Order: sequence, then C-alpha cells, then structure tokens
Amino acid sequence: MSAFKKLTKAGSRLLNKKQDQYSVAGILAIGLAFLTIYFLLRGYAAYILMSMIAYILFAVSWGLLYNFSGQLSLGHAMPFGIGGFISAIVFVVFHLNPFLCAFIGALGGAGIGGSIGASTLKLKPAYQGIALLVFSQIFYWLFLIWYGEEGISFGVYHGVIIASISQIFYFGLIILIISLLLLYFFEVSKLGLKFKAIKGDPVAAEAIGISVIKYKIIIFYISSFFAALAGAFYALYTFHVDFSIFLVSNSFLPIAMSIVGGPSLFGTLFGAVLLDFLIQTLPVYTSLAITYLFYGIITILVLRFAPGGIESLIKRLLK
Amino acid sequence: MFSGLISSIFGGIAYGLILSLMAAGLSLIYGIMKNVNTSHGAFYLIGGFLAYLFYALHLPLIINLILVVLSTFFIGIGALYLVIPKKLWVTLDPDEQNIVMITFLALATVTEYIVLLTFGGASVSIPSIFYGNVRILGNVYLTAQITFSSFLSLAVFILLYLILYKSKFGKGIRAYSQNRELALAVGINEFIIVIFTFGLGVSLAALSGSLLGSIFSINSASGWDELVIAFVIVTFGGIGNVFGSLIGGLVYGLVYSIVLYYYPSYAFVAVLLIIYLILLIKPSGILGKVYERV
Amino acid sequence: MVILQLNSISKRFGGVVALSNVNIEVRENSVFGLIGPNGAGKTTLLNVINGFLKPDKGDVIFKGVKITSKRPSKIAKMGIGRSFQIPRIFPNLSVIENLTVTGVDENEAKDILAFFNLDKNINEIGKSLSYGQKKSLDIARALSLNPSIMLLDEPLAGLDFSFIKKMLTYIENLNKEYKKTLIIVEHHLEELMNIADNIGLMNFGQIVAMGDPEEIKKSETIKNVYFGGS
Repeated sequence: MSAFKKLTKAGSRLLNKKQDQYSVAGILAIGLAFLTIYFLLRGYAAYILMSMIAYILFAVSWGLLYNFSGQLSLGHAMPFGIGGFISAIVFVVFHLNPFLCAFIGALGGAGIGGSIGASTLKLKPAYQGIALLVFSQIFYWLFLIWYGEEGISFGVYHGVIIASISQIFYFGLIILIISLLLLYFFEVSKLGLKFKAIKGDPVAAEAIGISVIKYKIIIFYISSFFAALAGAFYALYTFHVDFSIFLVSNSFLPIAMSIVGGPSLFGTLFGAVLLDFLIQTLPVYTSLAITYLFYGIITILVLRFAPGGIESLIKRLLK
Repeated sequence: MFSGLISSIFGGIAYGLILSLMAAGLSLIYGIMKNVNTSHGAFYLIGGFLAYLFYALHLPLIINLILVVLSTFFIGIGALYLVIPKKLWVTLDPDEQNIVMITFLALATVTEYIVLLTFGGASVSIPSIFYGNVRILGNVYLTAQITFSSFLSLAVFILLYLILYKSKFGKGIRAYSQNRELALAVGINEFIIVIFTFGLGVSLAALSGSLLGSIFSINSASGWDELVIAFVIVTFGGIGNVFGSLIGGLVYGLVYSIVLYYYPSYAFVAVLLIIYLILLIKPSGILGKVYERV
Repeated sequence: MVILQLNSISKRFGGVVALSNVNIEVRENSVFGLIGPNGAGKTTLLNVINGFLKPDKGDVIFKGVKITSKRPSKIAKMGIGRSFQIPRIFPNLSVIENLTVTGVDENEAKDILAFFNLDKNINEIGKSLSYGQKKSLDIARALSLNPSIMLLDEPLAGLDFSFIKKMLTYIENLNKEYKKTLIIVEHHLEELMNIADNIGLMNFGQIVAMGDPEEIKKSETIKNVYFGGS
C-alpha cells in the first residue's frame, strides 16, 4: 500500500466517530478563521492572533493537568517562562533557526517543568499547587538575578531581522493546529481513557494495573511541553523575554481562561480566546489593571455560580 | 568584622519572627480548613496598606495596629463568606480543595489590582514611630522600630497561646482541628470556629504586613513572596502547629540572614530551595512529629 | 499447587493490631472463603495481598514470587484481580470502557459483559447503573485483566435476594468455567460455605480456625467468634 493510502486509511479510522469528525472540523475551522482574519486585517491583528495562539496553548496545557488529570498547578508560569528563556538563550548563544530554538525551548521546558512537577507528586494534594507556586517564584528571582530587569531581547542578528511577522504567524498557526489535534486525539485515545479512569477512581485504576503515579508524571511532562512551547512562541513573537514572565499573574491567566471557558479542550480554548481578546483590547479603554481585576472577579463568580464555565452555560441553553 | 554578620543575624531573626505571625495564621487556617489559604499574601498586603492609610489619618500607633487587625478580621470573614460556598469551607476532597485554592488565588489577584488602582504601583513605606537604634551587644545595633516590632510579635504569640490554650474558644479550635467529628459531637459550633479562625489567621498576616511595612516598603505586588515564605515556615515548623511556626520563623530568619550575608543576591532563592528539599524529604515538616497539633 | 502463600503477615495501625501472624495457603483453582466479624481484618488482609497496604512483617508469595512490596498496579498486572466491598467502577466511563481500559479487546469485553448480563448496557455511563449492576461490573472489570486470582470483597453485600442468586452463579462460574482461583470475603455464611473449598475464620486480626466448610460449620470457635465468648 502506498504511503498516501496508509495515511488516508489511518485518517478515516481516526474520523470514525461523529464526535471526532466535529472536533477535527472545529479545530481546522479555528485555523481557517485565524488565517482569514490575518489576511483581511494584517498588521496589528497579527499580534492579537499570535498572543491568542500563545495563550491558547498555555491555557490548554494547564487544563490538561487540572481537568484531565486532576492536578493543580498554581505556578504554571514556570514551564511557560522556562520555554521562553531557553529558546531565547539558545538563539542568542547559538544563532540557530529561531523556530528550531522554539522547539528546543519547548523540550527544555518540558524536561524541567515535568521533573519539578513530578517531584510534587509525593506531597499532599493541597500542597502540590502551592509548591509549584514556590517554584515559579524561585525562577522569578533567579532570572531577575541572571538577566536583570531588561531580560533578553533578540530579533536582530547581524543587522537582519531574524524572521518576519508573517513567518512567525504561520509558524504559530501550524503549531497551534498540530498541538490541538494532538491533544484532542490524545484525550480520546486509549491512553486518554486511562487518565479518565484515574480521574474517575484512582484506587480502582491502580487495582486494574494502571500505575497512577506513572501516569501523573507523564501528564506533567506533556503539560509542561505545551506550556513551554507556548512560552517559546510568546518570546518569539515579542522578540523579548524577562523575569516578569514568571509573575504570579501570569500563572493565574491560564487558570482563569480554563475556568471561565470550561473544562473541556474546546471550553478552555474558548476561554483563552475570549480572555486574551479582552486583554488585548480592553486596556485601551480602561487599563490592564482593571482587566486583571475583572478576570479575578469573573473567575470567582464562575467558580461560585457556574463551575462548568461558559461551556456549561451554553450546554444548558441548548437543551 | 563579625558584627556585620551578627547584625545581619539579629535583623534576620527579627524579620523571621514578624513573619512567623503570618505563618502562624496560615497554619491556624490550615488546621481548621485542611486547606492552604492562597490569598494569605493578599491579607499581608491589605495589612500594610491599611496601616499606611491609618498612618495618613494621623492615628496613634497602637490604635493603628488594633484597627488593622480588627478591619482585616472582618474583611477576611466577609471575603470567606462571599467567595467560598459554605460546604467547601472544610473539605478533604482534593478536587474541592483545588477549587478553594483557585478561588483564593483569584481573590488575591483581585486584591492586588484593587490596591494597584487605589494606591498606584509605587512602593510606600510607613514611617517609623520609633527612632534611633537599640544596642544589642557590642557593636551590634538594631533599629528601635525593628526591636519594637519583634517584642510586639512575641507579645502576640503569648496572646495567641492564651487564646488557644487557656480559653474555652481556643480549646474548641484545637479540638476541631484534631478531630472534627468528635468536636461536632460534643456540640462545638462549626460555623463560628471556622469563621473566627479564618479571621484570626488573616489578621495575623495583616499584622505582619503592617509591621514589616514600616521596616521595608510595600507595593501592590507585595505579599506573594511573603506567602511563599509563610508557607515555607509553616512546612518547616509542621503544618497545623502554630508554635512550630514560631520556631520555623526564627530558623528561617537565621538561615536567611546568614545566606544573605555571604550570597546577597541568591539568599531568597537558596532558602526556598533548601526548604523545598525539606518538603520533599519530610512533608510533615521538621517539627511535625515532635509537637502535637494545635 | 499452591498459588498464593501468606507467611506470618502482621500489620498494626498505631496502637491497633489489624493483622497478627496470618498464615494462609491457597491452592490453584480453589475457592477460599474468608469469614469473621466486622473489624476482624478481612479487608485489611485483602489490601495486603493486593499491595494497597504493606505489612509490618511477613510476606505475600504469588506463584513463587515475593510480591509484598510491589505496587498494586504491578500486582494487578501479575495476575491478581480485585473487586471492592462498595463497588468502585469508573463512574465517568461507559460500561464497555470500564473493561477496555484494562487493555482487553472490545470483543472479549463484550463476552465478559454478556456473562454478567450487562451486554444490553454497554454504552451506559457507569454512574447510572444500579447497585447490583455496579457490583457485577466491578467483578467483570477485574476478570477482564485475565487474572489467576480474584479477590472478591463481600460480593453479595447490599444485593437483593434475586440478585444474590445471580451473583452466586457468576462467582461459581468464575471458578468452574474461567478457572480462576477465588478468595472471597463474605458475611453470607451459608452461601459461601456452599461454594468454598476452604474457609479461614478470622477474629481480631488472627486466623482462629481453618479447614473445609464442614469442619468449620461444626466447630465451637465459629459460634464463639460470631456470638460472643472468647
């Protein structure tokens, strides 16, 4: 069988179920929407879209950890920032292709974030979230000491801009679509089923041969990878990274996005798009501080009155 | 030559002592709610800025501090009531605990930005009431403000001891944190215990904030580092153990000041890493087993 | 052939002795019944065999291999399945997913579900099942691991009379048709005595009597244990 035939056969097996068809269509539609907006508006819209790409990946990576495996990280800015810094440092030191640097940053962030996350597994559940907050603060201070308030700015190499905005945008769009597809199929896969089982009853999961601790570690690495990829992309399109990437507010953002949007992949995605859009546009009329204030209040309200997020409200309306 | 190090150590111990008030509050809250108050730093922040506000209103120091404690007590209770549904106040279910921690984090974010919008982003310092230095020994001096704050902290710990061990209410708190079912069975009012302890816990954080706000400066981003330090102190001293927090705070101050003297930039990070390693090896803390719970 | 051996198992929780010097040998393909009053340590013993608890002293030997300090998931993979007193099925997964998550293929899973009369419910979500159905699913899921030994913790508890009869046939067939070694904790003494090859009577963490059902039924010890006395 030719490679093309094999691919289409695998593809059709993947797209057997209606739910999978709709989801893949949805993801591709989002990509198409981004592309269209970019073509129509160019310029400043590109920055808004790229910020959304970074925050969708960031929020979805946090959601993977929290909603899919029931683990709370209050310091998710840690792998995000490490991804950003490693990709910037690798670029500045080795002058590799900036997109390659982003991947190296993602891998580095995955390794460090995953290992640190794995080390928190032995702690009592209430401790895990805050232990990760402690770590994000450790990195906050470390990178402040190492790189000062200016951080690392890159973007020009030998007088030439390293990559054009459209190149970066296309790169971002590609990694967004691929990541979303990967994550979606991960969730509905056999491996994903094991995680759902762990979430349903970890004792029973253990009793049927699922090593809960092994899977929790795996998901930390996966989550950290996507957070670091998001951070690397963020550094890439802003051509800059500094210690403020580790601020607690930055750890709070993906949380707010996932909570407000809803626990599913698409819910979190929606929350990220909505909240990032507001962050990009509201401060013009009010201020960044009021926007963050608003996010805090909304998160509290959603947790109190509609814990399933906007996603659950929409589901209720549709009934 | 040595006097520099010794000065640093005394300063560090004073610093740790004042922060152990905040840690004790965090520990108290954990003992009752079985959950980490991730908004504890926000109350430190509120304490600092309220003290600043009351100072600006020319209130005498003692009144100032008492007002800070009382206001935060009620603000804390109000916040708890508004923001967390009652059934989540005390829960052992990890998913519910996570929801509470996220909500508290959101609350802390809200507080940070309210303070930012009200007072601006610049650092403020509450001017000292006491001036001059106090001679400790030889060439070692501490400012009078620091000395006063340290003694005040000790006094508050004594007061805390009286409340927890000599009052009927304190017995209720200790009973509830040790064995909830039994405490309820003998008729202890759960609602009052939880409300009061939370208010007390966060007002201790506020007191730390108001005292340290006069020694160092504070700004709207303050509180997060202090939350981390308080958590670290509590872990070291044993979770749920209020007087372990006192020991933990002193040890923290000691270690921090020594590391600070030799490696000024890395001091904070180094201490955090040390404590994190302790957390990994012995999650109940160093003193967890030796002392009984609150 | 002895498939499971418990040697001098002891376990205490603080000041409470949960298990004291428990010695048991279980032959392959047999049905071993574990009985005794509440608090005797029966579930604790199952937890030790399964790996959820580590004994203070003693060893668990499965097919000649020491499994005492292994993780429950490892022990499950080695061939010891477990059902729980209060069924612990995955409430958020469908009936068929509750089985396929162990790695068993879909057709085999459907066969097992048919055995337990759950084949009409394969796409129902776990939490919507009745109590009896949940108990059946709990055991079905353990079976799908294709274990050599199945630990059944009070499989008849909470079931109504007609379901008890059904469950008893399932259990008997687990042993007769699927050739599984069964260790069953139960309070329904008569039903258990009918299907067990061997009975161990526990009280205060110790085995106070062991033998075939006839011997145990006649012994004085069982009366003392259940109705008072020493």
